[in-house]
Amino acid sequence: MKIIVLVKQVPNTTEIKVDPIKGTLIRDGVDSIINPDDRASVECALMIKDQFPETHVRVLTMGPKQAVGMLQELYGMGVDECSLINDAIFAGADTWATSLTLSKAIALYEYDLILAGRQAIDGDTAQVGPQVAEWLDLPQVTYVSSIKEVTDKNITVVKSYEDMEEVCRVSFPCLITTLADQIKPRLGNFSLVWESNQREIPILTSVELKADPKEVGLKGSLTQVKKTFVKSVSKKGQMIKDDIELAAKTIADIIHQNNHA
Amino acid sequence: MLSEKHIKIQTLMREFTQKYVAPIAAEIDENHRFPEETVRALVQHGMMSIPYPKTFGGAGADTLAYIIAVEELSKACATTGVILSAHTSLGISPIYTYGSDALKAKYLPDMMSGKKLGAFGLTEPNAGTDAAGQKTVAILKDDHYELTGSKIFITNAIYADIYVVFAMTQPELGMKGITAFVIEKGWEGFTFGKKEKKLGICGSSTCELVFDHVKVPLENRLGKEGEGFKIAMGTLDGGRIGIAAQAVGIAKGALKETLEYAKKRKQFKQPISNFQNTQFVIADMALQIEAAELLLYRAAVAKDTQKNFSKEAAMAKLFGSETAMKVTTQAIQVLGGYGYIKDYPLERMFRDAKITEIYEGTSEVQRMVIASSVLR
Amino acid sequence: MNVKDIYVYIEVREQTALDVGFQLLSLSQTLKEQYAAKSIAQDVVAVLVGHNVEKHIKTCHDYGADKVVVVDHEVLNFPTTEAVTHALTQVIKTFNPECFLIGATVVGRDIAPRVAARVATGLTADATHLEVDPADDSRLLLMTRPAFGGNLYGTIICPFSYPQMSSIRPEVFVKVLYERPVVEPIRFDFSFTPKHTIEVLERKVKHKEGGDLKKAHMILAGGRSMANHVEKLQEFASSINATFAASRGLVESGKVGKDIQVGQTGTSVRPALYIACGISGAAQHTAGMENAQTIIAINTDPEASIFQFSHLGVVGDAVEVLKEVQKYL
Repeated sequence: MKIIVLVKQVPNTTEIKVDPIKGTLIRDGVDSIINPDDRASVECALMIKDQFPETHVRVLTMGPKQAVGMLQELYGMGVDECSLINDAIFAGADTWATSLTLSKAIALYEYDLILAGRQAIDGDTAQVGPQVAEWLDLPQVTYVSSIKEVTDKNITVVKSYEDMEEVCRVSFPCLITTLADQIKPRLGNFSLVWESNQREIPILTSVELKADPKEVGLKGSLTQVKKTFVKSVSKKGQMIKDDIELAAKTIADIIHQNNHA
Repeated sequence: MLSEKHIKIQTLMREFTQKYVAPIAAEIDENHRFPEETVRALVQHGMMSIPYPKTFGGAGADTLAYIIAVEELSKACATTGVILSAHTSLGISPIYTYGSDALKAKYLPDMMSGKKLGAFGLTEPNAGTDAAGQKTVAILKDDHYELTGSKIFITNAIYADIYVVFAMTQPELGMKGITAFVIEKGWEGFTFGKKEKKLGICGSSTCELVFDHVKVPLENRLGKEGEGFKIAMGTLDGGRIGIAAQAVGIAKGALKETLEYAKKRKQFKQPISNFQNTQFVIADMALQIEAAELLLYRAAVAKDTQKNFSKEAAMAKLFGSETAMKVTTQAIQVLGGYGYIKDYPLERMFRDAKITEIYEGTSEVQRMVIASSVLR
Repeated sequence: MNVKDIYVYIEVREQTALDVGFQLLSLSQTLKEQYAAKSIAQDVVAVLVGHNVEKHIKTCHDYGADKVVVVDHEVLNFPTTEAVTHALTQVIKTFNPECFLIGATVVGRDIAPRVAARVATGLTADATHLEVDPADDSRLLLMTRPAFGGNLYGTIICPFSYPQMSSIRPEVFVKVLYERPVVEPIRFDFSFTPKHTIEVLERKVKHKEGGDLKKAHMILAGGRSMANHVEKLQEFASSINATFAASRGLVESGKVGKDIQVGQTGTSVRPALYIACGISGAAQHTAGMENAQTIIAINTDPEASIFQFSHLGVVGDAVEVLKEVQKYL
């Protein structure tokens, strides 16, 4: 079986803080991490490879050159091949242009299954997976919380709705987007990690992808960011310090009011 | 100081420790339980033969990478540190270094993959530092040796599968009459004796090995007859670096706990880390740990690059183990009553630290080794 | 191309219409007024997709629909990717809407990107604020959404293609009883030949740890630092009839399930009272609870950013403070 996993490197958004004076994001010292939902996708691919050892797992990522470090980490987990989609003209893409670019890269390879994270923690759009499926005319199952069964012809997954779970089976080729909640990614294998920085990472540019500069990157995007801003925080409410009794009485009072409202 | 590769390994081992080792460290200590599930996880992640080439299934890394692994495991759980160290440095190492091609081919693949766990039997009730006082004998019969005697304080004992055991083949020659053998679990006449109840590293299995006329095939002799003492000492040189790593790991774990506590604990309306007394103690702890780590890393590099690294290994172990003892003692003092009770891991670290001054050569032995090297 | 009107997808799952659709109809009435102020006439059109959905037509009008397009077919009884994508694409191609809004439910977020790609327009995900560009002769919708875990907001426009599409999370806007007159619905002729076979083997209700967060009147939530006190917090919460919730940090600690997570990547809530215990107030969390009527925050760190959002801030250990509160209940 041939699996392609789409992965994105993202800043660890839980570490990002806002500079209250300048009103900008403080990104210094913020780690870049593998997007958690995407890591779950990699784990799913490797679980399938555990079951069918002849499975080939290819990872594709679009991003800056520094993403090479992330791809090496994935080699440490056991993926077979990684490529970095990188070209100055790909920069500034919205989900439309991103999904189109990724689809062009995917088209270079054979695949039975495409796995992607549901969404990335920096953008939270959840659009790239379904749009890749649309470009490639594939059936999709999004919000997959676990894989139940894989055969050489199809995959059975659990799709998670707000209040419900659905077990469904979809034939290959197809695209699945995964949730990080229940899929716990494996750690690296010692010797694969040890050797990971010697692994080569081919770069796919607009040449390899035969991409028209008008349809990728900022130029190919249908949406534009008109402005960005840091949210102004509301004024501080009343504070109680060093007087636990007063605090307790006040809280109890508010609870009473609400319980009788 | 560490290369990019070694830093990656350090990160991996931290994640591994966080996921598999730390959560059960207190429990296996409390119940004196050997953490079989952790060993399975080590096997699964290819961590059972870190410093050996891939020929027999090793991970293909170096001694420094292995040392980092033992150190990281020991930060959370010294028991896990010694399980890996005994297997890698005492179980695999003598067979890898001194074994015949046939012996290597027979035992190393399963030991390197971790399918079979290794152990090392040298100490006897009446032969500790004085290894020449061995009472276990191996008598050459036609096509085999017959092994009789017992070994005590054997790490990994009942959970191991392959044992490197030393016995007298020519008692009259003393040290020069010792020979090493590879013994398999389950051989007729090979049983386990007393299981020790210990002060520390309570999760590790420490047990007596009893040999009653055990038939050992000739090909299971390790090296030549009479080479046993040399093999034992050579193996222990390497093993000592593993114990030094365990000791530094324990000390680092204790410092980490101390820092967390000192920043949080408030007395006289401020965190105790604001007090100069606490600061000075913490400064001393950090200083000793970093010095011990430098000696440790130097020894690890020396093992891969020098013919003889006895002095470096002995210094690393001596300084490391004494640091572990001092640092855990100081750490408990910083936490006061909280350091003494089992709600915090420091009393366990303190108990675990003591063994590093004793096994694989006591601190006195290390001083002998250092002195003999320096006075040469 | 002549584009007109604001369309809203009304998601119906097995005859139950989701509230978010009605919330978006009400929002669309606001947008309609903003367009009207620029002398651009727009209607609010509900696109009711499902099977046997007649009963929802009036509700659509109640919450702000001027017109209702009904796409009724048995394959739409439960919204599947392929069928709904096809239905919405056909509606868009037939009517050329100016704007198209979709609730960012699991279904909405599944189909909206495919619809956008198929009709070749841009899509803004999870907008939290929509307004019509005040600039003269602009018909643009300014779609503001959080990014970087809610730390940064971006205002997105879709200037070259139509419809201007956005998904909006449930509970971000409230539904308002506009009570628009009921008119004869436009019945859309839906023909569909499925190509992708996805076989549904089972659907079952998910086990929920807490009550339904969205409907909770009071919520008591714990942060990562509460990992070892989850039971105490749960006990306290049930003693005051509050629903227990968690920040992403606490969920990541593995002590509670993801289904009780409040925040950008969890559930957005607007209870009457929200008590945040040991929650530092990362933007990703506050994005999901800042609309609560009253917010009480308890945290040991006096500088915690949660206090920027709280009506009452208490500096102290949440477990100790709540123990004290118990005495006065």
